[in-house]
Amino acid sequence: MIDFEFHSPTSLDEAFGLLDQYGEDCRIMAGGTALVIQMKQRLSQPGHVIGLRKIGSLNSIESTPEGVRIGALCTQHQIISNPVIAKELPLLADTFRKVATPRIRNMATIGGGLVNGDPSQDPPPSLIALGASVVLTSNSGDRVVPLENFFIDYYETDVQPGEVLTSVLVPQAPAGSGAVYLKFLPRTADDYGTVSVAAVVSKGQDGTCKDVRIVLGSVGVTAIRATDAEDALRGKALTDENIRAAAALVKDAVDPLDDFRGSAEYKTDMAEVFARRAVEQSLASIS
Amino acid sequence: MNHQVRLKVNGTDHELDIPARRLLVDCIRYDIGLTGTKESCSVGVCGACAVLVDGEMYASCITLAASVDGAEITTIEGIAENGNLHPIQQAFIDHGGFQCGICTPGQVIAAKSLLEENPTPTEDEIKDYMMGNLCRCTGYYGILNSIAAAAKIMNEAAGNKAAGSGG
Amino acid sequence: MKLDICSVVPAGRDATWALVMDIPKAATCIPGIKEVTPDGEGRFQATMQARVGPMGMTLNGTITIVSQNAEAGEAHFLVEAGDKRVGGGVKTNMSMKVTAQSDNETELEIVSDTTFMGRLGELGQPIIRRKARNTLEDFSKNLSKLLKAESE
Repeated sequence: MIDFEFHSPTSLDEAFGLLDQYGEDCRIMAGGTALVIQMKQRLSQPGHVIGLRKIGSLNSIESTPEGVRIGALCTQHQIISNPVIAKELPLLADTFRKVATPRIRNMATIGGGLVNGDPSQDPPPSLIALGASVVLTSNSGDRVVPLENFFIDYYETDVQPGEVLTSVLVPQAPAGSGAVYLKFLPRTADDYGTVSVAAVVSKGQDGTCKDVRIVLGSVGVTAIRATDAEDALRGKALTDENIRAAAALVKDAVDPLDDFRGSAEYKTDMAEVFARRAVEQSLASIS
Repeated sequence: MNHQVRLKVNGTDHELDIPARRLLVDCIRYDIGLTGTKESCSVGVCGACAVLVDGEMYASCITLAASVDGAEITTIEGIAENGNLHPIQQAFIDHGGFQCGICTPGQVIAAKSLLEENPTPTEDEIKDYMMGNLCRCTGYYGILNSIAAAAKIMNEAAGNKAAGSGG
Repeated sequence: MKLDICSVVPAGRDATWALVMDIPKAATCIPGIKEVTPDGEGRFQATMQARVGPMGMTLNGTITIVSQNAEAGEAHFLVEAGDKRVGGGVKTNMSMKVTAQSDNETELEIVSDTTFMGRLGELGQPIIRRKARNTLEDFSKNLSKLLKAESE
């Protein structure tokens, strides 16, 4: 690693001051699991690293009328073992449980992962499927961005200079809905998925699809919401035939890369298969 | 650029003046001199560098020492109890939990972290938690048997329910 | 990693051929190219920067014209480049073919095959893969713009 200066602000205001002072020559560190690897590989060589660990106000989880507010510095382990999450957002606990290894889950934070902008990571599809939004705080105040608009490109997000992602707001899944996150892991259990899909499905009184959200990871430069597939299923009877027809539309929504986890063609095929399974399993989980 | 870092390692306070880029694994091994913790993959995947930071298992090869300033660190050298091997360490000896030994400090730290979180894990729960600790020698069964045996001994000593009743 | 692109550029075949074979000039159409300097017959040293979000790679390497056939409108290139800091590199075999569509329209086909060598790291390879496709598309677009500007 190239030498740099490490800063440990104890307040957000102090952090904003540092961001202002060092501009593009600094990077913010939450858990550091992604940043330290990038710096070790010299893909990122900031002159200044601003560690947020000593800012105490960013790691609480609380239930509010709008949903669950999760502080950006909450670790994945904290989220998995939190009773509010277990009760109101079990899909999130399930999703975070599938990330990497116990060490990473102790270190990595929800905020740091989102700002990293890696389309292969597990949390974004589930968070987007639940309609989450992020709060970006700067000297000028808070800016709320729906998570589905937050990811712009591979490793690029909507965080503006001077902003720190301070919390994630996740509405509860609608009543009468089922939610599931599937991660297709033909390789080792600690890897990114070849394809991953989060689905939240609500069933109406008449048994038709009241609402559906299907979001995929690892198959594009960002997490991808398959809106055409959703539109094809919304309002329709939740039959095998209709679910299959909707899942088939997922193939046009994705744009995966060839790599050691699978060819682009294989990943596209699996996107359809796992989207279908995710919708089916979400339905099955409606109690 | 140097940074002042205070760490309490295995109960001993250290005040260090080290470069900001010093990784925790290198700080433990070279600045403090405890070489039990190993570095193998360097990207946080293999588990050999596992240590406890404020009681939580971290990958020290991807942790900046400066970022855990003020923390209490437990390494493999610190888990013996009153000069005796920890039950997990003894179990690894009794049940073939190691061959070359390079992954072993990480395996033991992970096992300790597991049993603290879940004192009565099922076999599947042990496998699930330990999946992040790789071993090239043993084929893993020796490690699993050691952890199961350690859990049994520790629970008997603490008067807990039998292992396998879930956690 | 195989990549190919086929596009129609707004210029005659000869003008298109002349531009693609003028490596220093054609290279300006590649996003991120910093310097291209001649290094012997049919060889050029080049530096290219690829940025992905907050991360970046600097690839230094050699472009070699392996063969060219003006009459057939076909040329073959070899690109070998590496990033000294990250380690490892890429080796790309590229073929270009120009075919006249009309007096001022030419079809440009580029077929490339890239091998990744050495330790590019967990992120290095996906960065190059992501960037390579965009780069090829941007190259083609920029070439069209340059040809159009030259013909005016």
